[in-house]
Amino acid sequence: MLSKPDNKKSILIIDQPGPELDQLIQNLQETRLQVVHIEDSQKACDYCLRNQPAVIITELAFPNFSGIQFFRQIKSNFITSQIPVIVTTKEPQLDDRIKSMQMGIDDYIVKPYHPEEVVARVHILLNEVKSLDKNNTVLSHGFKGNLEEMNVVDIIKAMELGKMSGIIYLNRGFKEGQIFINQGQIIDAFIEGFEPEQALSHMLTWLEGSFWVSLQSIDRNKMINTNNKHILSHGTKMIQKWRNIARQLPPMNTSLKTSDSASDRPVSPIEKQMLNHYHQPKTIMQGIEESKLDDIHALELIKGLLSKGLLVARHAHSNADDPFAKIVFEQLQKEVNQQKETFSDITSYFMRNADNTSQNTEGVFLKPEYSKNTKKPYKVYLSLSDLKRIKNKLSQ
Amino acid sequence: MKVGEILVVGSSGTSHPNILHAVCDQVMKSDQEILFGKLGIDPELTLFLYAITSNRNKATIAWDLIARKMIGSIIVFDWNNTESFENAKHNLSLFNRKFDAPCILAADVKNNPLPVNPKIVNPFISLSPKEKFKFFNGRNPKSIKSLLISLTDVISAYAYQDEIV
Repeated sequence: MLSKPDNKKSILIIDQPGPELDQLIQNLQETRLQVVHIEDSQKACDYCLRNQPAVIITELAFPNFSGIQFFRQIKSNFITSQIPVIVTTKEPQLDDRIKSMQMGIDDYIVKPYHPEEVVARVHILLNEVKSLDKNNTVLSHGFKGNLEEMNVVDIIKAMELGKMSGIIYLNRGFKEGQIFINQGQIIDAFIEGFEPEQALSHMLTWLEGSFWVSLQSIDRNKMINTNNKHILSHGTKMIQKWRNIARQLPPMNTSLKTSDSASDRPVSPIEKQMLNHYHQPKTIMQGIEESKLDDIHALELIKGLLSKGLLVARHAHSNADDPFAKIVFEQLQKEVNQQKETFSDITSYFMRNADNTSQNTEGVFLKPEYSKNTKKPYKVYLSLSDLKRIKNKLSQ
Repeated sequence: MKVGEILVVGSSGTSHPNILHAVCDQVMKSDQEILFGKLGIDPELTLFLYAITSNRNKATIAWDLIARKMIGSIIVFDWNNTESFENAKHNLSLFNRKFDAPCILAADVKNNPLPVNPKIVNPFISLSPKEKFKFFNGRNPKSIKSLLISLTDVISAYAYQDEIV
């Protein structure tokens, strides 16, 4: 044992001694981590049970030791099952990599390793554990997530299947709502200004935003009398309908504005109401949220206004004045017209976007959606020369 | 020994597995959804490629586990299949939210001629400095290699932007 362990921040290493290991231990200690080195699997298991190290780094196999067997022991005990495990191995065998993934090993490093890389990986895992611990205070009595990955219908289905009771808290933009479930059955729904049935129908098509489910007993009058089966089937149809319309539109975060010519054109009262929302630039989603209409109706209306040219897309970095972009745009249109019959729906998606932007020769509706600054750490553990070697190999 | 990992993501029926078969020395299938490929670059460096089928309505992939070490990804869709494009958009959005690694959105035109001169289309659908759009032919190994070379270029430019003049 090389240093005094600290229960919360100790890193357990199971490996044979050697200069590479010494260097790793030194690097870990330099980042204020306590390191414990053990060579025997039974001693390592005992240590884990008593001290629960923050991360375990284990060699896959060395004489009288099987990393896989050790991993199974650790993961089968509820006291140690949450400890992240990094496996190190000498040969980068594909089946080892697959095995490690299938077993749920948290990370995999090939020897000889760069100690800095191992240290970085340990810190990534420590951060993940920290954020998991933070979330667990909420997760202990519920679950939460993103509506793009799990929509409202899926959440209700999951609760119905488990006959769960609780409140689904939903958040999309500046709108919030709640759905109350008792023993898997929907009994009430709430959005300010809406009747329960209307609120529920509204929330079924929320495909963006976040949710949090608080599992708890519900003592509330039944305000929704339609059965789950009917609601879920209606919800699935609504989602499909939403997706069909949305796919013909630019992304929901595209900024729109009422066109200058809109005031001279005849519009219906409902269209006028929607156009009023867009006197100042707003995203499609903001317009839907501000509208009193249900989401699908609002989306259809926006689609119609866009196709009539009464609403136009705006871009922060429009290069309408760029003569080169203008030429490129005209060339693209020319080519599209010539080869229209060979074009897929996808081309027309891009082109429709371009068509709608007479003031915007970029025609890049995807750009605002995907160019968000995510501020997530990105670190390539390969050097520039490694990347050049990969490129050379692929060029052969 | 250094290892680089690249995720190649597609939806049902797209040509993402072809990418592994075209470039890897060894390809193994672990289950119906993940194909593993290994490409030895030299004795000091190995590239692992994972081909994953991910349809947007079926969220069964533990991305955090698989993508932990990825240096970049390729999201493949069939240029003539709207559903696969919708899946690709979903995955691109998911990757953008979860990871910061560079990505190529790759449209497979198969053996058909390119719908337009890519030089003309590219400025219209460039995504962000770490995300590029590329046409490729999923049935042509040369075209596949060129796709991976593009990804390597994007990774180099994104990760080492200060060092590349």
